[in-house]
Amino acid sequence: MFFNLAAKSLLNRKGSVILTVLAFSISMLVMFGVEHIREQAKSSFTHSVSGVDLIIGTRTGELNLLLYSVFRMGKPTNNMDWQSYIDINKNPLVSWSIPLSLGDSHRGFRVLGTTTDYFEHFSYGSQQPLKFINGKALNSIFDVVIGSQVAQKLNYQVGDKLTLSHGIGSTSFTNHDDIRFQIVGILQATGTAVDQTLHVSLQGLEAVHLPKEQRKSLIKIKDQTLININTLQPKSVTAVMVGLKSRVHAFKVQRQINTSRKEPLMAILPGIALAELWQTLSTAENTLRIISFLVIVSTLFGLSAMLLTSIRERQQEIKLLRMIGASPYFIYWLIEVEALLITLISTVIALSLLTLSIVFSKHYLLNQYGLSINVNIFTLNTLSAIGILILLTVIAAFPPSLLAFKEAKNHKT
Amino acid sequence: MKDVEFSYSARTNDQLLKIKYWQVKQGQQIFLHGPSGSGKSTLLNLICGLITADTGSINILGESFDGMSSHQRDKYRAKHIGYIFQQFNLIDYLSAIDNIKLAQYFSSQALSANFLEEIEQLLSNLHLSEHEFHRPVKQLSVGQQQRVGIARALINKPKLIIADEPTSSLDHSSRDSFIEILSSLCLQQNASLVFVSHDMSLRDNFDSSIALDEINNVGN
Repeated sequence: MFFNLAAKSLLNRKGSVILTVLAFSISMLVMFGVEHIREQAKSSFTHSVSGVDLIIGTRTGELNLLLYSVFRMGKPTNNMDWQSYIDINKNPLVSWSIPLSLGDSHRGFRVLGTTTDYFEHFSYGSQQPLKFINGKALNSIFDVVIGSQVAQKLNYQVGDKLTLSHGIGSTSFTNHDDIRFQIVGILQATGTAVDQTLHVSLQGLEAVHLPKEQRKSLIKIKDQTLININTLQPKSVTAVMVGLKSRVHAFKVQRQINTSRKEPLMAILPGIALAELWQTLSTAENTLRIISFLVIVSTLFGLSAMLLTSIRERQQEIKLLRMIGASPYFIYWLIEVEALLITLISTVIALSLLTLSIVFSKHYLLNQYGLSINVNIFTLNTLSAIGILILLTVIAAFPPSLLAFKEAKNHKT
Repeated sequence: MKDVEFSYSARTNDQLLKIKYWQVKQGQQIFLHGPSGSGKSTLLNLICGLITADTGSINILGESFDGMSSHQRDKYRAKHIGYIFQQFNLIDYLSAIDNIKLAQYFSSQALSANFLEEIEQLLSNLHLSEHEFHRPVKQLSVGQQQRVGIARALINKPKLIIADEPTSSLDHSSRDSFIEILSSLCLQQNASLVFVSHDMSLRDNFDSSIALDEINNVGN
């Protein structure tokens, strides 16, 4: 009876109620949207690399090493010696290692020189390995495997040929025009920097930097498979990703490398470094949260005002309810429940709209921005946000409910 | 009602009601009249327990309001007193049936098995057609609304019916039929009726008539 009364009373004031519900739904959509995307961006960020226990490079800032090795951002300060890579690989605690060589680009996308170990051992998210949509891993020195965004933006397919440019700008004056790489594989979208990367063999990178005469003779070689060509030993690499036999030894190996008397190198634990980097971004994160919270607060004021006005129109109704036996508390809670019903309806609308828009934009966001968004918005976070909203609604409905209560209590003729 | 005094402010010279003794016998139908502002509505609010007297005691159907909390008075009113207003007797966005159900809900009496039939029977007796039962009452005419008001007031079979100028918004013919229905239903349920109006032409429809001035001693 109680809910029936509250619901029918709201239906009776359709106009103002619908507008309030709309305003509330939109501001909740903003809040839940910001909160969800924030969560997802954070997890996609911190999941840019997984299963890699250490990243090793020359001495530089932790952040710098992380940025260029994982996110392909910024410039590597210096390269490390090839011999150092060999040494790391020989370390008995090391299970596998992936050398990374950066510095070239293709139409604005970074080119990463590496070995086939990369496709085998590198993983992202929660230990998800790289998968191919099309084609296969590197086999010959002029093979290239491209990330999903590279394929999408430049409209490349397996079998297409491309050339590399020296440097990392989108326009470069030094192009390695005479050597053409052939696309042999396209990777599945990962929501990480991998999507924006072209992967070539270390030997391939070495080859494009050879003097012109040697390049020409190299192109003429018939069997260009990586196994066949062992003359193109790189002299240096930019960084090395390392997987250990046991995670327990991460700190030990890190210390070994950091304190080594040979080449000055540093090792970072990517998980910790990523978390620290995210911390520095938390100002922007908090600003977004504050804005969405303020939007909600202003809507709650609107709700309160709407109900307050309605009480003035409902004096007769309150008088009647009192006469047929309603207590002032009944009247108080009637108004509170009306407010809660509005919140509930708005929450349902906002969450449905958000789910719908994520379902429809998921693909687009991943391909255009490399942002992988989970469709499931019902996290613990969302549930606690709904709880807080209900609490705030009760508070916002307090002034109108109190007015109704007083109206009921001070019965005047 | 004995030695009842009431004023809206603490100063005694603003006293509105001062009633030495007044009673209505069970089953009696009484016509109460007086000019507006004479304290009729205040008297009715006292009888209903919406407000409490400054002094004196009020006994309704053998029970005194003195010891009751406001919540108990609300419950008591819902169960034992049927009230009909001049207008706005119903919640206009609910149907006739829902309005009556709401009155039943506040009385917290157990629902009888054929409760809905009872309501429908009552409404039919009040000359309402079936398709009007479920429409929001704001779509009904004023006369129909007042008749649903009677049904709402009578649903809990109260022993006291109070009607506060219920006919002033009705035209002549519907006024007569309204009073006829109301008094016959009160008779049927053996309920006392206090009918308040300033329209003296209605006094002949009731057992007795009394002017508020006759029982109110303020100023005397």
